[in-house]
Order: sequence, then C-alpha cells, then structure tokens
Amino acid sequence: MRQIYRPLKFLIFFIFIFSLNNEIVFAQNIDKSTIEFPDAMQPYNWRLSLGYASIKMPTDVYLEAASARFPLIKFAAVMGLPSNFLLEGKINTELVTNQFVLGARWVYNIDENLHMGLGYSIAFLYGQLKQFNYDSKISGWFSYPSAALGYDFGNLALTFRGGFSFINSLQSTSGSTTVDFAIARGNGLYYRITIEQRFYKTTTVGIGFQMNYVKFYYPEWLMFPTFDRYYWIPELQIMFSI
Amino acid sequence: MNKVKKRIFYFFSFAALLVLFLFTNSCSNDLDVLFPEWSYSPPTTPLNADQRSRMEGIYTVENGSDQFGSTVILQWTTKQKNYLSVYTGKNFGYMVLQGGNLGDTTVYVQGFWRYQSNAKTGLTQLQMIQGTDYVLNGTGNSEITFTGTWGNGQGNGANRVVFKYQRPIKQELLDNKYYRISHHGSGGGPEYLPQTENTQEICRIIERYGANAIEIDVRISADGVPYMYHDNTLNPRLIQKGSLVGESENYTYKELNTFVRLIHGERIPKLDDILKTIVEESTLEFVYVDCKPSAINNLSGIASIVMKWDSIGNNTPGRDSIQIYMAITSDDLFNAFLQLPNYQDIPTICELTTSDVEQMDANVWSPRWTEGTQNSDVASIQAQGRQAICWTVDIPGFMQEYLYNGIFNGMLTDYPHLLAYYYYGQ
Repeated sequence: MRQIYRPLKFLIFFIFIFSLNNEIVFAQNIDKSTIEFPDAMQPYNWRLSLGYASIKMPTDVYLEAASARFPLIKFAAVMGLPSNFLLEGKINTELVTNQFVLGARWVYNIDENLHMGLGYSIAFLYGQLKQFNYDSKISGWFSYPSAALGYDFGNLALTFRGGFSFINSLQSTSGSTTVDFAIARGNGLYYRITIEQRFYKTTTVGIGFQMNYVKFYYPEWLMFPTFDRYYWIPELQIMFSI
Repeated sequence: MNKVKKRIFYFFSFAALLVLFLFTNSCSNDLDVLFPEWSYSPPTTPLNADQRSRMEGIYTVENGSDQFGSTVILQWTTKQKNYLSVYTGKNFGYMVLQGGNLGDTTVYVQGFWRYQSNAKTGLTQLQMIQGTDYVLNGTGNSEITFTGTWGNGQGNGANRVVFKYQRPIKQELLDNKYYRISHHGSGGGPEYLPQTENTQEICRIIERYGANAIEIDVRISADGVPYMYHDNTLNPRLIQKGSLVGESENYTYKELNTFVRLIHGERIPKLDDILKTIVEESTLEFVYVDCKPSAINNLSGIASIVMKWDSIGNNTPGRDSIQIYMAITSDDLFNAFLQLPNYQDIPTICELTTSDVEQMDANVWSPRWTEGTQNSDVASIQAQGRQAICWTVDIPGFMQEYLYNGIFNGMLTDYPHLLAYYYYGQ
C-alpha cells in the first residue's frame, strides 16, 4: 500500500472493543437506541450521541508545516417526529472550525430488518483564528441531500448512507478583506458505513467509516486550498450515545 | 444467538471493515499531470528586444474566451528569448509557448496551455496574421492579431483561438520593482510543474510561469552543508521511492545527493549550487532564502553563501541587479542570528514583528498574509528604507486586494502567472 493510514491503529482498537463487548451485547437488542440507523422513533423522543473523528488530509493541501490542527469532535441529536420523520442536528467542531447541521430524514421499514431513509440537511460553517499570525475567519452554507439503507441484525445495526455535498455560499476574511472562497458549488459526494451496537447497559457505540470525495473539505479551511479537483478524504468515526 | 449465527456475525462485521479499509487504500489522491509536447516545431528565429517589446501587451480574446477569459497578457521571458508566456487569468490558467520569427513573414509560437488549479492542459499554437510588419520591422499598422488552435491532452486540437492586440503593458508597471515570488518554485505541488521545487532545474524555467523572483528553503545536513528541501521529512510528496526515510537533516549531504531523487528525477542541490544557477542562468531579481529550523546549525555558512552570490550577481556584466536575502523565520533563529558578528551587514528578511525587523536591521519585513494588508505597518517599514513582502497568497480575491489596495513590494505565491495577470493588467 502506498499510504499507511494512521486510522489503522484506530481500526484495530475498534475491532478489539467490539470483540470484548460481543458476549455482553448479544443479550441486548439494538432497537430504539441507534443514531445512524434509519429507524422510526416515537414522536418527540430524543437520542443524543457524542463522538470523535480521525481524518486524513491530502498531503498537497496539508503539507507538513501546516497550520494548527485540532481533533474533530462530533455531537449529534435525533428527535422523532410523526409520520416516520426524524429531525436531526449535529455540531462538528475542531474549536477553530465549527459546523452546525440541521436536517430532516424520512425513514421507512422495507421489512422487519431492512430499513431505508431519505434525508436533507443544511449546514452552517463558521471558523475563526486570531492567533499564530492569523486574523482569519470563514463562514458559509452547505447542503447535504442523502439516502440511507440499514439492516437490523438484532444485536447490531449496519447502516450505509450516501449523499452529495453542495456549497451554497462560502466567504473567507483575513484582516479587513472578505472574498468569495467557494472552489465550486457542486462540492462532491460522501458515503458512510456505520455499525452500531450496545456498548454497556443502555449506552450504544457506533463505529463509522466515512469517505469524502470532495473539492473543499471544511476542516481544511485554514490551509486556504485553491485546487479545483476532487480529493478522497477518509474519516474514521466513533460515537457513544449519551 | 446460536453458534453458527454468531460466527456469521463476527465474520460479516470484520470482513466489512476489512473490505472497506482495503477499498479506501485504493482511492488515491495522486494526480497524473501531463506535460504535452509538440512532435514537430518549425524552425524559428528568436525576436530581438524591440520586436518582443512591440508584441507584448494586453490582448482581447475574440475567440476562445470560454477557455481563456476575455483578456490575456503576452510577455516574453527575458533570459530565454524564444519563450512567450501568456497569462490568461481564468481558472489559474496560462500558456508557455516557444517560437519567434518564421521566415520573416510571421511570428509563430507553440507550446501548451494549462489550468494550474487542476492541471487540465493541452497543446496550443498561435500564428500572427495581422501586424507582422509592425512587430518585425516597426512599420505599418500596430493592430496585431494572433490566430491559433488549442486542444486537450497530447492531441492536436481543433479549437480555435483569436487574440487581438488592445494596448501595451503600462511602462510604469514594467519599470516598477514588484516582486512576484514563486513559492519554493512550486506550482502548488511538485507534480504541477515539469521540475521539482527547490531545484536548479526549476530556477532555470520559473520565469516562464510568471515569476520574477523566487523563494527557496534551506536546511543543514548532518555534516553542516546548507541544502535545499522544504518538508520536514523525506516523503512521497517530494521524493521518489528510495532507501532514506525520516528527517533529511539526519543524513550527510553526500548521502542525500546519492540516494535521494526528487519527484521529477532531480538531485537535492546545495544552497551554493542553486544560487549559482539563479545568478548565472536566470534573470530573477529577488531571492528569498527561507531558513528552516536546522539552519540554526550553520547560520554563518548560509550568510556567507548568500552574501557571496549577492555580490557576484550585482557585479556580473550584463546581468540586471539581484537581491538575495536570508530569511529569519523563528524566535530561535532570530536569537542565534543576533549572535553572529557583523549581523547588520548580512542581507536579511525578517518574518517576525516590526520591532524585530528593526532590532536585527533586516532589509525586508515579511509577515504572513493572513494578518491583513497592514498598510500602516508596511508604510512605517518602508519609511525606514526597508521593503515588505507578504506570504503566501494564492486565493485570487485576496491576491487582487493585496495588490490593488495593499502597499507591499511583492508577494509570495504558488501562482506567479496569476499575479502577473493582475499586475500587468492594471
């Protein structure tokens, strides 16, 4: 392999966690505790999760002597609505980079185990750094239409979600100058595979792998990328229901 | 869950993760960049200085504006007299063409066009169909028109292009010293240009890409030799597969020179070699020698090489003046620099604060562009007889703002051709 991803060590960690917990979790059904799985919820019931993502930036954007970087923390909330709708909100943050996502999904049970969902989210990006010789900000709006397919194994839920990324507006400010920063309006696509299962008592753990095929990847804004091409950018995610 | 189902479950979940992991390893971000070449070039004679001057200027794009924008700027490279640069401004585009007087009847050039932001490229050729007398002999109508073709990739294209002369580049822009500094001789990444950054090879050709100045990165090898390399480690971004790994400073220069090949096959040069090439084989006017952290191990060595070639460059008959500076980029380097005897005589750039600039008596202040145009600080520095450069500006909107509303003496960029388009288009 040309590149050895740092997430490999996380992958091994995650498999280990799964293995340790499998004997416990086989006694516990995954129903009514998932975040990603397209499962209808009781109206106005909530589910929350907190997680972390490890990302790998493309080297010709990131270089080695790049700007300050921080871990990507993910907070998600899902609320049931009538008629198989779900309302979801997310906060993805690296402190200097923050993305606030609000969206809705419609879910449908194809059969007892196989579920599907259609969703649409809008996201607001805001980033700011006023240290380390930066006086820079970024703000913008994104859209993410998506579709999901999930299978409930009883003790484990597997969800495949794919979607597109659109940049509705994006502006960057340095000093007193603000410019349009969108490389393109059609930003690319992503897919995510998530496995969710009971972790401990009522807590659910989800491990996800997301692959972004995009021109602009929002955590990289401080590198001010100008390349008009698509990059494969992987994210390895872990989340716990709270 | 019975045993069989359990085994299926285990197998499925681990297999799914493994397949995903293997699949994603095949998703490469490598970019195959083509550098197309013509298989045949008709014999041409380089134009003389007056002929080149009459031909340079701003042209309207009468055909091909979807590809190249509404105006383009034509400029001959000074040292390599038969190279013509066309700055198109659209999609970070440009052309590098070669040619000249074809049989005393026309001017013909051929080469390639490229979008630097994604490396889309193709062959292109231009022939003067109007204004030939004016360009070649200085007589007749000055309405110059080029017509030509462009294509995609290596194939000869049938897409038509027409450039019509609009006006000359303003003389004050040609006379003014505004430095378009190529960021380590890179076009955004080493694969985007035909030669690798920080090499003698790129210094020979970077002027064709709009630069009149260059920034290069110096480190110190294990045996104290100043050499040129940007990244902290020997990595696939810059070098071909080889036996050396880790930090380049861990090796002697002989080991680096022997065992390392850069992306396009070049060897890592010494500072002395690259400055010799710049002085003797280019007309670059400004050299920014960026001292990386290991430079602290031989600051005096770097200083003596910089001063040597600065002196040679400014005393070489026929060569226009050159300014070569060593750049102090961190507090550690700053403190070490102040310990050097007669440090005030060393030509330097300071990337730190304006008070640090004064304390080390630097010739140039070079702040990061992300702090804004800082016009009042820049004016204050310039009032002291110093210069100010900002780094590294790649976004078109900021480039225009800093050029038109800032008062810097120059700008580091990965796209000197775009900066040339904005600068000469004023």
